[in-house]
Amino acid sequence: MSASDRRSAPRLVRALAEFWRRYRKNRSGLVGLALVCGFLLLAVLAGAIAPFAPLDTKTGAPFEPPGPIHYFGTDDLGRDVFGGVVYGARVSLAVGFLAAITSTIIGIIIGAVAGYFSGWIDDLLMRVTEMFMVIPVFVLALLLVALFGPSVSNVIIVISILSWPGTARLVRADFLSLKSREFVEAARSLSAGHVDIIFSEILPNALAPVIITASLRVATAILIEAGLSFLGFGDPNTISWGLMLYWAQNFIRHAPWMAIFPGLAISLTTLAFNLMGDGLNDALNPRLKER
Amino acid sequence: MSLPYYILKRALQAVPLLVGVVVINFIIIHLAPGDPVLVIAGEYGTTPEYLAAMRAKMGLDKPLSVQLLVYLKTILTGDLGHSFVWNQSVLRIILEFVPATLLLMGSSLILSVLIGVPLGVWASRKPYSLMDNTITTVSLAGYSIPVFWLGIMSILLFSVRLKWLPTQGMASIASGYTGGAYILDIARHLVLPASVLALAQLALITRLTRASLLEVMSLDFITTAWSKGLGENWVIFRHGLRNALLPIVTIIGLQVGYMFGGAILTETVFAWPGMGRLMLRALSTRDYPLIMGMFVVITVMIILVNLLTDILYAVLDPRVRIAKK
Repeated sequence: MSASDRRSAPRLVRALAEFWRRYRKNRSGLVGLALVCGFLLLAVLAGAIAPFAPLDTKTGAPFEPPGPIHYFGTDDLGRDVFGGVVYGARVSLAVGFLAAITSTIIGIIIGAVAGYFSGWIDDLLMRVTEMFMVIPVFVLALLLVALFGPSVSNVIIVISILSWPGTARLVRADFLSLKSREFVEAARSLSAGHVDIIFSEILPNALAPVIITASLRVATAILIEAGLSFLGFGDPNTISWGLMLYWAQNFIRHAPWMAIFPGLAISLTTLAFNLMGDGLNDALNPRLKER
Repeated sequence: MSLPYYILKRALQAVPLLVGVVVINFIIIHLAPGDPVLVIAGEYGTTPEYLAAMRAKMGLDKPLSVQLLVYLKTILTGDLGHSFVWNQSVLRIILEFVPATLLLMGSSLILSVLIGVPLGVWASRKPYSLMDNTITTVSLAGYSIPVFWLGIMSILLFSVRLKWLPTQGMASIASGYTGGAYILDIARHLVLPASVLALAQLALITRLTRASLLEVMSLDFITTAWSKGLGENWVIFRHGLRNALLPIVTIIGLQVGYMFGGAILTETVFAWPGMGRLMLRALSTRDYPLIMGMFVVITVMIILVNLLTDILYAVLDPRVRIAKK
């Protein structure tokens, strides 16, 4: 085992280098990656970047237009809009990443089990998947958050539970075609267990589309969270871009900056993850490799 | 497999799907904290006797399994229950709000297909050219913008600044418009919300058309068409696009569910009197029968649209009927 570890480490490095060489070629992918890194920095360093805490009222007069002290102006209670936009990155990114990761894991497990074992397990799991595919995600998310209470963790859980079917179907399709290939037969003849075959033999070969989908799902999750908060069903005690837009609704004519900047932030973050998905698609999609 | 048989099979497959959705819906509502009786009774002051009577009236005193069976049975007969908040049949309340939402969603769907498909064709003509890159990037931006923010910004620009279009509602109140003037008034109110809701769809359809067309255009039968000396337009539209549109039909079916979410948000921004606003009202009053009824109606609509697109696909492409046994 240790011998193969030593051999596989450089192989991983080489694979990553090869991946980066391909990813680098895609300009929009690079822009997306840079933007994502920028927003991550914003989220991590929020305390150092924002001159005012986002929920502090009376940091200035109400409805101050953007200026040298309040870069993005102030809202009806004199809260600093710039501070809100900076701190808001935390909720959006946390929800986006955690929901994307959790739903991807759920999707991988369900898809892998269905595709690997096939038969009645596959039938059952696919019926369940179909059911989740016709359920309107945002509508049910709204319903669940309204009934179970609007907190950031509830929002993450709800989005995760509702958005795995896409991943499950991708993984299942790959497993169906990969499980009868020679390398899997070889592993089986060496009496490898099911779990071992699923996770260390087949899964690594089925990961590319899953990663691309996960990147796009971060964007979707961020949009869903913002939408819920905008309707007043987000966490009322944590600053988020959607919540800021919810506050802004009544003052659009009066103080348009209250709405403009948080919305720009949502759009840019979502765009960044979509661009990254495009870049990953070009770098990982085997069909394009041949060109 | 003959076409009628295929349609029947797909329709039958939709039934367990529907039952499953109803059960999930029921379980969620009953797991949720909060007592609808207390919410309703709250306004009138409560005595234990009154609460018990209310519970019995709403059927909430029976065990959950009984409630579920009763609910399934009544839904299958087309009865969605009674809203105690509105003191009206749930179905009647929903039917009152459905047309506005359908008008909004329908017109933005038409808009997005009419603009999205030609844009996609245009982009695919010279892949990776300046035009293609511009269209691809702009459409990516199109579905990155949250629909409600786009709504707010369009109100700011077109209503507040330019004063071209009305901001709120579906018709001018107390205008007394009738006939043609009334329809024109609604159309003027529809322009902004429908365009805003259409953008994300439009962007997706553009990208899909492009990708699908690029794939089709590399197939052998297209090369044959070129070699026969057919004109560019003929090859693209009569041979390429006809085949490239197939996956788009499916995607439109799948996107309807997503569109409902967009519609709720759009209706909120534009005060459009449709199901989205009804849903928010039902949620804030914890009107359980109405919430459950709306969820069922929305899901039935999605299942129906999916069924329709499946059938359309089978009509357009006979291979589906043979391949998918």
